[in-house]
Amino acid sequence: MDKKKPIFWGVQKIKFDTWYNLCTDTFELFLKNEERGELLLGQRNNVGAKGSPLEWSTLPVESVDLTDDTITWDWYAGGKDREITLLPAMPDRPLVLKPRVKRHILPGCKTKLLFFVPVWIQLYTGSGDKSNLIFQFPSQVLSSTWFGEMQNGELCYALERDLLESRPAVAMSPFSAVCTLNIENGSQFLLDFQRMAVHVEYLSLFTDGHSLYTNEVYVKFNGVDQISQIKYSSRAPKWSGNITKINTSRERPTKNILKKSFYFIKALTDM
Amino acid sequence: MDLINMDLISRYLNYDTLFHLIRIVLYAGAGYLLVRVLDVIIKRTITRNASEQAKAIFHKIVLYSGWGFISILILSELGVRLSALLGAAGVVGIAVGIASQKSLGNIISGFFLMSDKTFEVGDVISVGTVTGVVHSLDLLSVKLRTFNNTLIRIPNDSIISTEITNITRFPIRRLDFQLHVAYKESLSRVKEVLYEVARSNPLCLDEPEPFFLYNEFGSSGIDILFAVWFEKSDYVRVKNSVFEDIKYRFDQEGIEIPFPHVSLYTGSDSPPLSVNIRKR
Repeated sequence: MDKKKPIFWGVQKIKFDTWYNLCTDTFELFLKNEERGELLLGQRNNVGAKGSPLEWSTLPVESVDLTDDTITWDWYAGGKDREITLLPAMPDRPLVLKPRVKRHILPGCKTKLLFFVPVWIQLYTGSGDKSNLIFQFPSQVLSSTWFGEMQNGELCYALERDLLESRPAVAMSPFSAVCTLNIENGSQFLLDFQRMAVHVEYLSLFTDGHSLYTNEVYVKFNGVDQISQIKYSSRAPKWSGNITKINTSRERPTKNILKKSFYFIKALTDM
Repeated sequence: MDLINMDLISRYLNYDTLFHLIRIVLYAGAGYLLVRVLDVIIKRTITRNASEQAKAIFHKIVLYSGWGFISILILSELGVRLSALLGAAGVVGIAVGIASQKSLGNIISGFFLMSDKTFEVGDVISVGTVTGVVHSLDLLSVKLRTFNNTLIRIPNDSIISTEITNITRFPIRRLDFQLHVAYKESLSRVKEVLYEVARSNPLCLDEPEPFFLYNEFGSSGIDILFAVWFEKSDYVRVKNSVFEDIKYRFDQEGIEIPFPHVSLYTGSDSPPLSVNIRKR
């Protein structure tokens, strides 16, 4: 994909009784706002051709077959908005990150690691404060996994990824966000990083107009039997260029985050 | 003759009676308020983190004992001799107790069940041959809603002396599939296919990893135990989808699931039995 091509996130004005279509490598959306104020939305997976233009296009009315079994149709009543907003969002559950290549961090050392998170797609009617979320789905279906003990762990998505040391030079998928982990080994032992639960629901999304980024995560490992510290930065990542927030976190990080994270922090010793 | 007997009215409707009446109303009103306030306080403090059935039981205890106390006060205000009443209540209590030994046993068992916390409302449990969702845990019985939407009442004292399986106690479960494959199959390929089935199903958890075990050399094929972990609420979806996936992949790979069969063997030196097929 051309890295300079602007991605399609944001507001799209729509006319009545016209089919709008968005086709990507992994999914396709159909949308029509009817004169009476009803919104018809169709979605199908894995049909987009490679290198789809990633922008809304209009289709002739007769070209969309409402009886097509491969498309899931949803019908929304009462929407008289003439615009829709498409936004990326972080997954709705924590991710268990498993590096493809094992990482080891020496005592007293810090490292910055980056990985890609497949985003969800959210569709709102209207824009700004008056928008209503009507539909959301993952751009990539991730398998589920369990993190923690059998009795009181948590359900997460499994994400096995290559960890990068720096910002990727190659073009990124428009449906992936770069998440930055800053890990500090504050213990006197070698930190063997096998897996880690990242509570992505506390992360917001930012864009520089081409790619997506999350705010950074800071982890301080204090030892296998010690409680580690985790901090979710509330600011934009320190990338060069003009970065703006495109969507807020699913859950607002409050003081509870500390409490919620403790189990995770304890479980982090599994690294 | 006067229509209204003023003497009679003045005998009963005097200052004393009025004062008693006001006191009774005050006792009833203040008592009602007190019981309600006490109930709210208990709900917000003692039973705030308790289970639903514990909350319900505490609520009933507070209400019934509160109303009992208020009734005693009102009866005393009405001039009823409480000692005689309590004596009579004692006799009645013994009679009722003898007649309802079973019920009392159930009540006591109910308290044990609650303190035991083996299950709570909403859990799926198996008691004997019955499996269902716990609908309510009452003083005398536990009510289960079965999956075909019938209500089953099991007395508490039966439950306390029976083996109970709480199916949904823990957040994740393991689903076992007992499989048979023909002797001719490559076991490593079978294993690989089954792992692929689990990996490609988003409802099967990656971790804990699926479990694979060669059970035994069976009479018709090799018995295998294959198990996947899943989130407890996905039971039906996981069972159906994995079942379908295994059948589909086995068909695709040409892996035979043998039906029970018997091979006739006439000894090591004897030639194979000749079978002739005649066309009709």
